[in-house]
Amino acid sequence: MPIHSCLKLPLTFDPRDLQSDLNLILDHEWVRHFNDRYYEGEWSGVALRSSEGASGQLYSNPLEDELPTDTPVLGRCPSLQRALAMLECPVKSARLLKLGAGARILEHRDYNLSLDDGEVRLHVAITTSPLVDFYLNGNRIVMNPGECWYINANLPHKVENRSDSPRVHLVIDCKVDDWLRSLAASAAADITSPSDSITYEDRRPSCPDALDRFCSAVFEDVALQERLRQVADKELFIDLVVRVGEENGFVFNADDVREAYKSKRRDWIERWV
Amino acid sequence: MSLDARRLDGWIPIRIYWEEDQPRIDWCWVGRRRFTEPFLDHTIDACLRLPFANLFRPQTPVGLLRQRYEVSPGLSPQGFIFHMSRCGSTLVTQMLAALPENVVISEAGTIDSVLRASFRDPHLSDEERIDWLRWTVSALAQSRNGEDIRLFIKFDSWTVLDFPLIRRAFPEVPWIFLYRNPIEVLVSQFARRGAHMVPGAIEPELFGMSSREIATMPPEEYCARVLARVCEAALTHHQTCGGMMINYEQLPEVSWTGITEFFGIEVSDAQRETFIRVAKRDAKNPMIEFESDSQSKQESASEALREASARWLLPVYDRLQAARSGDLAS
Repeated sequence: MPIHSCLKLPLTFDPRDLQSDLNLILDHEWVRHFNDRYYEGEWSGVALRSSEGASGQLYSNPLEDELPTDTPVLGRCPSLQRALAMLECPVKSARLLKLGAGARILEHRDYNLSLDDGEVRLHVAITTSPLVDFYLNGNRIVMNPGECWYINANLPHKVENRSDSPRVHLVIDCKVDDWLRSLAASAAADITSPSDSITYEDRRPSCPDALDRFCSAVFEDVALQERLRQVADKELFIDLVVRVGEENGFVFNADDVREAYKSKRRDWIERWV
Repeated sequence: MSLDARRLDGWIPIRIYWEEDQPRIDWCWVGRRRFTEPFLDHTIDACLRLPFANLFRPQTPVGLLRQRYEVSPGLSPQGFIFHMSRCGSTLVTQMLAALPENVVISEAGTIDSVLRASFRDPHLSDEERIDWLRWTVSALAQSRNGEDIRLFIKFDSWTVLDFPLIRRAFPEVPWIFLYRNPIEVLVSQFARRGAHMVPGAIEPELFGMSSREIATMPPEEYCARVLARVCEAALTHHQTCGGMMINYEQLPEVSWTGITEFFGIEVSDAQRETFIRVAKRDAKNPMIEFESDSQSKQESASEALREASARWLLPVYDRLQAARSGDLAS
């Protein structure tokens, strides 16, 4: 089963309405993004809904379960309010993120943000340009104004704004519920152009020996075992094994893991044969 | 692969397999999970649903079992359960397993593989098999949560044929043998057969038959003769090693009036309530209510089954009954 690295969801917003709301935000309300090791140039944001209800609170703990509160900025932005109201799933946080002209975000991964994790990050492009390059897992994704995208932020991603104006996205973290799942399913079923969804492609070389050596290393490392036991979904687990293997110096690809997985399964099922 | 025996907490041997004529052990992560499913294989199936457990299975030489035994011998068996099959043995183990202080190992494939390893490697001595058996039981019988303190093992039906070897590995452990009216066992087996009821699935030599002989034998006769061998073995060892004979008809009450006492367990009122609750469920399928199906089984027996039962099994059944009365009288 391919994991969709991103999906254009069947939800559209009027970009002009959203853009007009941007004018209601004061310059000093944009705060610099906390993660300053990962970007160059201007990257700032305004919280619209956050756990503490403060406009300057760009970071909401993804594991926190309390209900978020609208911030004063959202209170004065009617189009953004309408946009958020269109989401029927629980919204945990909503932010406007601005990448200044010439700025870029270095390649990084976020964690626990994919359809299989139960919590996802959605992007609604508000102002952008063809000169914005967003790369997800090595593939360029074009998000046009008003479009709503699911991005598997667990995969490596980076952005560069080569244009001479800021690029602003509405970025929403929400819980996956049946409504969102059905939206994602219909987006996945409805793929017409390849750029609407790029499936996760593993470019690592095949090396079953490295996987064997990694397995031996895991048996000697109780902490690694504990970490690998946290994932119940098979595909996510395979992805995790590849990643943790790489972190520990064992490079192999997802197909190697899949093959080994199948063969171990067979060993057990055919134990009397 | 180097794997330290001390790092095996939470891992159990689920399979012995042979690689270039060398026996190897397949280990599976079970963590602190209790063995509450009707059979150990079902518990292992459930554990293997965790992707980690399926992929990360250390596969080691048998020697690691010995190291494991030396580092952590585990619980000592407090009771063995042998049986004729389809006679309520699973009900008994499910009752025992319902109490958190009990570890119940039910028909573990690894134990069966150890006992039948002599068919795979004829050079294997009884002493080696006894060692392997002790080590395997020890690795399965680890206390997993501190609360579990007693160990019971239910073997596969045909394992009673290896009784002397088990006795040497574990002298003095009290044992019971469960049996049932043979026609009812045969009807149940013919509806859905266990491994020993499929000619050739278990080495016929174990039952004193040859492959050539079983090739032409009617299935009714094969099954009846295998069951008869199982019952004969139980009778023989009962004479010398004093186990307890239990007829299916005594269930479920005998669990808390006879078996537990025989195994040296005191049963509190609350524990008896737990047993009664378990007895109301069908042991192999807890979603269905248990009810004795002796009558329907008797009625649905074919003529061929009746004949095979009368010829091969009724005499030994009568002797089992007599042995049980002898127990009661003494």
